[in-house]
Amino acid sequence: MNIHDFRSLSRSCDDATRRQFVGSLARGLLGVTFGGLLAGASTARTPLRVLPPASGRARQLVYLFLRGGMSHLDTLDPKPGKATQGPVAALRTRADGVLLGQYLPKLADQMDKACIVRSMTSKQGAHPQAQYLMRTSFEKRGTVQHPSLGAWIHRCKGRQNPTLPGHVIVGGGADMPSAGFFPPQFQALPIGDADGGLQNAALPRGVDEQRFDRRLDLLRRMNESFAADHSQRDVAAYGEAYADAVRLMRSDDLAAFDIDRENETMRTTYGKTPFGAGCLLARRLVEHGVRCIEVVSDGWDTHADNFDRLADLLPAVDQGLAALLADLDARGLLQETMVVLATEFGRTPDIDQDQGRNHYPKAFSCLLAGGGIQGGRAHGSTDAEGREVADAAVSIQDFNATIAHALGVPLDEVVTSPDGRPFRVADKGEAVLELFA
Amino acid sequence: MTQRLPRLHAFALLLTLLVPPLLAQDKAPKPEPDKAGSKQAGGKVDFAAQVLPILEKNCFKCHRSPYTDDTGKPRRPKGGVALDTKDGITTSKKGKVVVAKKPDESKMIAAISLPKDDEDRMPPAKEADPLPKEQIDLLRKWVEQGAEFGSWTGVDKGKDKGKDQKPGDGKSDGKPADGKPGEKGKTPGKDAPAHGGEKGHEAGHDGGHDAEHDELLEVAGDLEPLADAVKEQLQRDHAFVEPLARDCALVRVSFLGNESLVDDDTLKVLDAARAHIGELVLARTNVTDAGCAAIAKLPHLVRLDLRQTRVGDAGVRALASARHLRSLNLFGSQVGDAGVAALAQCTTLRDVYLWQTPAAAAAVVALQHELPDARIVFSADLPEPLTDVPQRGGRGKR
Repeated sequence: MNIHDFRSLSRSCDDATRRQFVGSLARGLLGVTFGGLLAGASTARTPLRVLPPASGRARQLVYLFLRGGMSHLDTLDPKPGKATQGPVAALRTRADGVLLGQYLPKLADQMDKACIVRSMTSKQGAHPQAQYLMRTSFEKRGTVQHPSLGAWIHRCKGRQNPTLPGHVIVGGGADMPSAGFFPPQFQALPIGDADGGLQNAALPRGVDEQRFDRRLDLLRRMNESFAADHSQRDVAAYGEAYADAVRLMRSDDLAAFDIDRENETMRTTYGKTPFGAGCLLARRLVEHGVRCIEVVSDGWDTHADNFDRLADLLPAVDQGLAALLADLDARGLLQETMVVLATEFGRTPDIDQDQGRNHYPKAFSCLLAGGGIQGGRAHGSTDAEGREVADAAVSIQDFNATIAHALGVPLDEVVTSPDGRPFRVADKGEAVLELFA
Repeated sequence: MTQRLPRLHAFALLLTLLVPPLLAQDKAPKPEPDKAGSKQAGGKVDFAAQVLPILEKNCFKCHRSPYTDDTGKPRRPKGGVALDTKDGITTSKKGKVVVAKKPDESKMIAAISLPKDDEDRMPPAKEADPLPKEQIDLLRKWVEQGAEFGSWTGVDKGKDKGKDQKPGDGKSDGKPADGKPGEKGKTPGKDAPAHGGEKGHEAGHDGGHDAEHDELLEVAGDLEPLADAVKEQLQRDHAFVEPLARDCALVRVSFLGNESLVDDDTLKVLDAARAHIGELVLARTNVTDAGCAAIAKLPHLVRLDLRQTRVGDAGVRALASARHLRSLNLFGSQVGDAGVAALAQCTTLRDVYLWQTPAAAAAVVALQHELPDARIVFSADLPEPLTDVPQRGGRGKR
């Protein structure tokens, strides 16, 4: 660890106790975890780094990821009247002068709460690499697994709710980057299908509480000697994972994962689609204090029949996102929850012979709302045909830095990976401060 | 010698505190109409002709009622002080901007009279020079004479360059803004290029968030950070403690995940940290009206979340006496009309959430009238349900 790391850490730990400081240092930098099974709620919950921003009140993140590359021209950055626009018309929205593509009428009614970033730009045009870049701020390399933005937030802010995981990914599969080189307790909990909720959380048939306790005790005794002989972070983390799981199984908060507890009206308000159900689950988890919830939607790689495909895909996103924004706002949670709609790149302004659009990282759009973001506007712009960023370019790192800043993750904190390399949450990205109210 | 110095300082301080009011009294004797008329040209100060132009030129850039600027960005009056309406001048979030006949209790007079390099001076040192002495004297005289506005009640919004359009006015009607490609030159997108860009950065973003942060710092005063022992005790009592804002000793205390264990009795554990609690999250806990009296006594409470609790009118009535309460979340609580009416007393409120409560719309409208600057959320702006689910939606393959 070099001097710089130490200074930035000690500066930020002003009001942590010495023990917390040493503990967090060890946990964050050396990958040591204390306590294993015995680690109760308190260690897991102590925020590692505490630096709420002056700007926002964001404490939680809902990150909606449209995997495959959403066409910017047909959604958040329409160019009515231009040759590149194709058949999708533009809609006026509740934000003066901000237009949306015609398949987003419900989002149009919520645009007073959201800000479109129309000047996103990157150089990475291949799916896995671009998705990795978007979610970690780093180029994909063979030698190191970078933590995702969600893991940084989880690690930095701790868990608000000791029973629930700090980070949940809905519909993304298990291969989404999350903890990276952080200790395994920062790994996100994957939920395959929002409708199904958390699987295997009930006791097996024929096993009552007593029998379950006996089994756990047996497990503990079997593990004891191994854990003593091999006091490594992964061994300890394994134990912690069990303890967390058991705590969750026995908690009232398990209900947070069950969207069937919502009434039919609420279900249809979010839309009975995988994405809508994901948004509804995200809202429930926000209410219960989960730091970071990601919802992943697939199918956006519209190389052929772009327009027909979008006509099918967009209503679910329009419905889910509009419902989420309105619902969080009415519950008084939007100011402390940052909602992000992101994708890995845009799609070509030129329409090919298959009525398709292809990969286009040079200029694309994402959307931010809540968490101190000033709604009702668009930031940056592309040129007349949506080909190049014309104004106020925002790199992927800048975009992630903006989110991290809103949530109070210090951009200048250097964390050293177990193999001794220094990393910051959004690499060298800078937060776009004018986006905040 | 060394012991005397502080006394000298104290004396000097006393002098500086006393002298300005004394001077002020000298300078402007009680306005006997005839005498004042002969001594100072103009006699009684005419607000519309003499005062308003000064405010217009020097203050309105920042201190005007909420509006939407050229870039489509909603603006709020800086520091919650709007000087473009009579109501704004006589009352504000920050206290009395102008107290009739009492210039020394009028914050506006105090702010414009501060020394050139004072950071609280208005207009701000960074942006403008102090007002000329004649103008300061004129404003002071106007206040002394009773701060009368004549028939003026506020800046006529119609005349104001159409800037007062609310963001909601451009509400989508679900119809395409521009149906067919080819109608060049008529596209709304072209007429109103939408980018926040540098303009917003320059004039705006400091205004909003720094004001809120400043308020928190002001509420915290010179509070020392919360002792670790207290913090640890709270954590043992199922609370989660986080700092509320940067460089601020206030904390946010929540009980998420332990809601079922928290009731009115639990609130006693907060006593040890009572001065430090700036935000308290009691959502879905078992607290009742009985607990609210204790909550209202937390001296620095700025935000309170009572979402989905059984708290009702009696509890909310008790809370209305909280001194710094800025945000109150009563979503899904039991508060009714009486409780909502009682909140009118809590003039610091900026955000109130009342969706899914027994309160009636009329009570909410009445409260909005009493607290014109507060954002009172009573209903959800939810989209129409999605009935026709697209068959292929969300499936596809990468």
